[in-house]
Parts: sequence; C-alpha cells; structure tokens
Amino acid sequence: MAKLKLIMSLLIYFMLSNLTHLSAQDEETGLEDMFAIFTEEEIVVSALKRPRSVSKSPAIMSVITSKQIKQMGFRTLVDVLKIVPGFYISMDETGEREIAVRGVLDDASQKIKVLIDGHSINDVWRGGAMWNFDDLPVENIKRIEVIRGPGSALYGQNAFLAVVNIITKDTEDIDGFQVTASGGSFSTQNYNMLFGKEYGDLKVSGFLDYFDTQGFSKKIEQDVLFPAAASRSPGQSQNRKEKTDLNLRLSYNNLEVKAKYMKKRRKDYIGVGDALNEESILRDTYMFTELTYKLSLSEKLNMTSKLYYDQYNYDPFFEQRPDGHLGVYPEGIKGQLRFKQRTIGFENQVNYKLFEGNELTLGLQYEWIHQHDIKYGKNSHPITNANLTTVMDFTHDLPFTRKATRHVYAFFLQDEWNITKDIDLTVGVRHDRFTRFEGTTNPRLGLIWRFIEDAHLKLLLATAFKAPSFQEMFLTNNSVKIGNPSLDPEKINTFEIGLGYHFTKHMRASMNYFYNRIRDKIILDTGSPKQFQNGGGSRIQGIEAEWKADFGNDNYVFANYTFQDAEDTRNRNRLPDVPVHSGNIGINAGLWKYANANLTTLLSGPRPREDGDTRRDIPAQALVNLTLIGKNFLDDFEVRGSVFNLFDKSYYDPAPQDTVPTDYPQQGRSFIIELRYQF
Amino acid sequence: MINKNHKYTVFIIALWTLLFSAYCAHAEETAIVIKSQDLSAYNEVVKGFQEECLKNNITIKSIYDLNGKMKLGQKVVRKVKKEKPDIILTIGVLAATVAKDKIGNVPIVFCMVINHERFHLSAPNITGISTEIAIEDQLKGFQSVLGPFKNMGVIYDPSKTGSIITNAEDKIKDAEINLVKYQISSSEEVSEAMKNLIGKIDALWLLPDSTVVTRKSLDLIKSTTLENMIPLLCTSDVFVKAGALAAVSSDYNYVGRQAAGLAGKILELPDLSSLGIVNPDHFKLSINTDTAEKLGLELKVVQEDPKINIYP
Repeated sequence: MAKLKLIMSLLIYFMLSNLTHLSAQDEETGLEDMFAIFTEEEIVVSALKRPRSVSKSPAIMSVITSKQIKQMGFRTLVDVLKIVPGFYISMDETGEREIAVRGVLDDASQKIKVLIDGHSINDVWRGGAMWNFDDLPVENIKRIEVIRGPGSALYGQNAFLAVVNIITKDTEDIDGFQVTASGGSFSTQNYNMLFGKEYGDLKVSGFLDYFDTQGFSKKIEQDVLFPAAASRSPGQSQNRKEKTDLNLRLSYNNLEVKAKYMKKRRKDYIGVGDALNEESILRDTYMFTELTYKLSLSEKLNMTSKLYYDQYNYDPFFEQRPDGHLGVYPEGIKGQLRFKQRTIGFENQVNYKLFEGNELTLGLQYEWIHQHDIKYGKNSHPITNANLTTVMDFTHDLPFTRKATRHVYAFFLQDEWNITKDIDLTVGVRHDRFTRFEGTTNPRLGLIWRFIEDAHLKLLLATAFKAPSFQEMFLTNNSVKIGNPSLDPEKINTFEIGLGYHFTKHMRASMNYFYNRIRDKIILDTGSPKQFQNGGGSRIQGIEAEWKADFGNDNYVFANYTFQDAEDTRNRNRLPDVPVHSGNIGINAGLWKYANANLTTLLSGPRPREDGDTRRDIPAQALVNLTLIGKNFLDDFEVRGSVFNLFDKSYYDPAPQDTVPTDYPQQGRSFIIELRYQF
Repeated sequence: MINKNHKYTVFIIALWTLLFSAYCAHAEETAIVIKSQDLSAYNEVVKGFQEECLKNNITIKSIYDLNGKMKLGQKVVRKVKKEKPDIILTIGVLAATVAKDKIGNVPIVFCMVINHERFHLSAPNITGISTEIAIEDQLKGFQSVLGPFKNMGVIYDPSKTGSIITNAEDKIKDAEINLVKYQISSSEEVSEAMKNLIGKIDALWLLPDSTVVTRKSLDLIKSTTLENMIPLLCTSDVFVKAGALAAVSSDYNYVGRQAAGLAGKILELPDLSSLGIVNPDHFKLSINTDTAEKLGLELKVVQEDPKINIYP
C-alpha cells in the first residue's frame, strides 16, 4: 500500500512539475500572451456573429436599434413599426392600433407574429398581439428585427405577413439602473425603471413601467347612431389609459427564466359598435413565464429547450349603446364579458453543424391552449336583443363563447448552407397539426447570392398560415356575428426578390419585389347574424425600397418607399384602408457631443375605401415628428423632448362604411419631455 | 523690508502664475487607456504610451482593464464617458471593439489587433496601428538572415488571415519569391498541410493565425520544420523565443509611443477625424541562434548588429 502511495505521489509530482514546466516555458516565451490574444479574438468574433447581418439573413428584414428608437423619440412598439417599409398603422373604433402589412389590414393584426425574445405574445382570442401590446414600452428594447414576409416555416401560426421579434436589453446592456420619468400632452405621465446586474453567474435584469394618460380627445360630429336622440354625437371621443408593465429575466449559466406581466385599463375611443359612450372600460391582464435551458453537447451540437406558460385575462365592460337607445333601452345596452386563456407549451430545438458552413436546425413544439372561466352578463337578450331591466347573467345559458381547448403539435426542420463564400441557401419546412383542422405544412426556400462585393441578391419562396382565432371559431349567442368551429386556416404563398447594395461605406440601399397570394381568407358572410367563413382570396404585389446614408457620429439620412397593389381575387376590388404609396424620410444630426436632433416625416398616399363605400378616399398625409436629445452636460443624465405631428395636421383613420361617416380623427400636435438618469 | 510696490508686484506675478497654470491645466489634453486584458505585451504598449504622452503634454486619466471579458465593456465605457477624455487608446481587439461600438464622439486609437480588417474597425473617429509590419520590411529582414530564397510556404485560415495573404501576395511576387499557400479551416489540418508543403518550400512563413497556431500544432510545426531543415519565419518574436528561426515584429513599447504621437496629431485636428490605419513605424528582427545552428546557418554578420534581438 505504501509502495502504491509512493508511486502515485511520484506520478502526480512528475505530472504537476511537467505541467508547471510547460506553463512556465510558455510564460517565459510570451506564448501565453499570444494564445490569450487568440482567445480574445474568438470572444469578439462570437459576439460579432450575433445578430446576423441583414444581407445574410434569408428574409427581407429591417432592424431598428435602441439608439434609433431613442433618437426618433419613439415610445411604443407601434411608433417604431411606423417607419418599417410595407407597414402602415391605423386605429380602430376601440383605440387599438392595427398594423397593415403589405397591403393587408385585418382585425387585430392577427397576421403578424410578435415575439419578445423569441416568446410569442399573440393572444388566442383574436390571434394578434396588438390588442394588448400596441403600446409596449420600448425603453428596454435592444433592437427590433422585422421580417417582412412569411415566417410559418420557423414560427408556425400567425407568422403570415410578417414577424416582429423584439430583443430586450440584458444585464450587459443595462449594467446598473436607469430611471426615466416623462410627461406631456393630455396629462400623460410615464415612469420607468430599468435594471440589470450580475452576481457571479447569476444575471438579473428587467424593468418596471407605469403609464397613465387622459389621451387625446376629438370631437365626433356623427357616430353610428346619429341623428337618433340617444346618440351622444356630436360628442368627444375618449382615450384614457392606465397601464403597468413588469419584465424580469434571470439567468444562471445555461438556465434562463423570463417573466412578463402587463395590466391595462382603458376607455374605448369611439366605442364598440361605433357609438359614443361613457361607461365602457376595457381591462386586460397578460402574463407569461418561460424557462429556457441551453445545452452545448459538443462544438457542433447545441440544444435549446423551452417550457412556457402564458395567461391572458380578458375582462371588459362594454356600453354598446347609450341610455335611451331606440327609446327601448332606457339604460342602454351594456355587457360584461370575461374569459381566461392559458397556454402551456414546450419547445425543443437542436442545432447541428453538419459540416463547415452548414447548420441544421431541428425542432418540435407542443402547445396546450385552454379557454375557460367564461362569464357573460348583459342587460339585453343576447339573441333577441329584448330589453332587460338589469344586467343578467347568461354565463350558463347563453355564453358569448365556450370553454375550448386547442392542442398544437409542430415539427420543424431547417438547413442553412453557406455553399460558397458568396452563396447561402436556406431550406426549411414546418408541419403544424391542430385539433379541429388537418395539419398544415409550410416550406421555405431562401437563396442569397453576394454577386459582387457589397451587393446581394435574395430569392425567397415560402408559404404560411394563420390559424382561426378563438373568436372566429367560438363566438356565439351574438346577434351581430358568430364563430364557425369548422374553419380552416388561411394560407399564403409568397415570392420575394430583393437586391441590396452598399454604394460606399456611408451609403446603402435595398429594393425588393413581393408577390403574395392569399387563399381561404377568413371573412364574415352576409347572413344574419354574420358568420366567419373561409372564402375568397387576395393577390398583392409591391415594391419596397430603402436608402440610408450614414456619415458617422449619429449623422444620417434615411428614406423608404412602399408601393403595394392589393386586390381581391374574386372581384378584383382594391383592398381597402391601406395606401398604395407610402414612405418615410428622416434625418438625424448628432449636433455635437451635447445634443442630437431628429426629424422624421411619415408619408402616406390616399387610402382607398372598401367596395361600395361612396365616401372619397382618405386623403394623403405627411406627419412630421421632431425629437431633441440633450446629453453629457451632467453625468449620466439625459433629457429628451419630442413633438409629434409638428405642423398639427388634421388626419383620420378609416371607419367602416355606415359607422362614423367622417372617420376616426387622430392626434394633433403633442409633445413629451423625458428625463433619464443612469447609475 | 518689502515695500508696497513690491507687494503688488509679487501679488500680480502670483496671480498671473495662477491664471497661467489654470490655463495650462485646462489646455492639457487627457487620454484614457482601455486594454483588453493584463498581458505583458499590452503593458509594454501602455508603458510606451505613458512615456510619450508626458512629452506631448497629454495626461492619462485612467487605465482600464477589461480582463478579457466583453461584458465589462459597458461598465468601463460608462466610466470612460464620465471622465470625458479627449482621446482613448485601446489595446487589443476586445477593447477596440467595445470602444468602437459604444463611443462615437471621442477619437480612438487602437493597436495590438492582429489582422484588424477582420474586425471592421474603421469609423470616422478611429485611427489604428496595425500589428503587421509591411511585407517588404519582413522580407528584407528574413533575407538578411537567410540570404535570397525562392519558395516561401504559408499555412493559413482564409477566414482569419486571408486578407494578410491577399495584401501581401503581389509584393512577395515583386521580391521574386514564390508564395506556396495552403488553406486550412481547422487546426487538425495542420499536419496534412505540413506534409504537403515539405519539399516544395525553402522557408515557412508563420502568421499569427489561431487556426494554424495552437499549443499542439506549434510543436508539430517547429519539429517538422527543423527535421526538414526549413527555416521558420514569423511575425512575432514570441515564436522565435519558442524556437522559430526569425521574426520581424513590432516593438510594443514603440507601438505605445507611436500611439501617443498619433494621439497628439489627432488632438491638433479641428474636427473629430481619423488618420486611418498605419503600420508600426519601428520594428525589430529577432533570431534564435540555437535554431540557426541546428539549421546550419552562419549568422556572424547579423549577430553583430546591435539592433537585432538574439535568443535564447
């Protein structure tokens, strides 16, 4: 035994002395320094790899950074999306901002997938994310990547016309605290605290945001009831809103937990049913948590697993018609709705480098979506509309929707192959299987050819789908419209060709053509009540062009232009409410180290009416926003002031035919002042 | 006894001195140094920079060390912004990248970045000193040791040092040397590359390419070149200390001095601007005499030159 110990000791001694010798030798020659420099290079290379540049991404893509967001004075997600080519924002009768993409405007922007750090925030009731998150604060956003075009081959349902991926700031970006307070027109106040700290391997970051505003109010000369005696028009629209937003991100080595909580209360702008009202109040709560585990099995093989839980509580009180309506409803028509939706999901993604320049992504996803806790009260009969003396509970007899569960199983596969230094090929496919309708398979093909230095050509082909929302399927006991549980998903085939060129190191431009063909559109039929049906389609083609000249030191000029020709395939009528021509022009001047100025102009051509609407088209408009930033005059302190709609232009968003004849008036000149302190 | 007039004179002189000192103090330019990590090579640059800054009336306010961690960048940048320096010296690619990304309104001078083109460090406020000595000077140095030679081999990873090769090819041709290139994408291919090059080359040019030079491959390269009597020529003297024959490389202390000189010039410019990327203006030739002896080279002439560093 003693002999064994001696041998072991000698062995360890020799091993250690040899190692020490080697290390000492390296130190002596300076080789250690050289290898340390090599390691440093690798750190930088891996940091520069992400995110992939727009020219290498197999999609037509726009990236907006936190710096641009700050310079342009943007305060919410939709503010940012206004400058994306092909995107157009307008407001509906409830005050919700809806996004039209590539000529298509639909209810709740449900054809756009919105992700926060890869987590989808589209709700299942409407299918879109804008009802809850059109006013998502941008203070904690690092960048927004917008894919203009379909993304179902990777992201599944609702990635139909575009994918908006919001990347939030992490501990490295924040590193401390940032407190922001702002106030301005319409008694608006906003307080935000951003934090990010590292404690060894534990990283904690997040933000708290509180927003309160009276909102702008405009005179509505005629609402849908005008000239009935009960109509509150002429009267004022309302936009009061109060919102709390919390975000938390914790990570420890390979494990990460993300959580979000949002609670919002607001008035509806005109009112559901386009009748001015006083009592409606829309209440929503959205929360999610996601657990992510990243495992690097080898240099070539990486795995990411996600487990997530989402909950959405919808709890509005609607005054659909004011007191005295038709002389039959002395208390008006009022209703209280409620439901909860829960999603539990799991996703596993494996990335495998088959060989140098070729990466395979394999993934599977499962989601369990459940709608429950339904409450329904109304002071009129839901079907006959007969007046009732008080609000009665119809939860059990005539609920507005029903308990429902949806299971989604998905499998996806993608191969990204850097065939030569100048040619990249991406081929992907995803199959989604939903309860209630057959599976849908969506392929994608992307070819990028950097045919000369500084220029690239992209050819993209893809299909995508939009699953019917729960509202489209399960809305029931409603005298106006009802759902259809037999709906199939809406589908789109897309072809895109894009060209990008860096003229000089200061100037770049890109242009792309797209052709979209939508089929099995989910639309309301003409019955009574109207029912959601799959029917008809659309054909949209267009051109998007972008140009930017960046002279460094925050001095840049940019412009973009979109032409979109969108028509119904059956009757060839132009799709309504979206301009054929639109664009943006902006200039940013980093005046000197103490100040920055930004002037952005949002331009829109006339917006056509729907077929049969005899009103003249919504006129063209140009809105100018000005933002000034003062910085560096006090340590860690910054002041930002913005004036929106600088020239106080009157403009309107479209109201459907036979509702508000003069459309929905929009915000005039407004201002906001913001103070920011970082420590 | 000091009369009243004298008192006034003393008072005026004192006041003038005070005001002049304050003016001088105000006129003094300030610099901050950010180094990527604590390496002796980097510290040598700092030393040179400090020495030359003294002469140029530039005060170094602080020296920050990123400890090889990118995540420290934000914190350091915030401190740097607070100090409001007139110029920043970054040492190493990590520091240069952090400064480039986060500081746009202060002139930056970077150095000690191998193959800087790979990291896209150009910006209107960025000036740099490359680590690469002009190829003509390298060849002159190598030929002074070896005499004329015809075929020079090189192993490289195009994604890392491809641009060094591209930039050097024509000049190597002009020097009537045939460059025998061998591309690799993984360090495992070094052995195959060496086998392929043996017999075709009179010398091997070793670039600071992390795919080519690893702890394991360096031993293989050294032993293979020695066995086959092929001189190993490098761009860093650390390889000479480790057994390569010769290197033409920059002198880190001089790099620091040159950076201070550039800083002085930049600060004289009316606007924030760049002087571009320049080559090191001082370089040294290093020779390993043990290796030379093993290769059977006669080095008497060059050994006598006091400017040449002789190892071991």
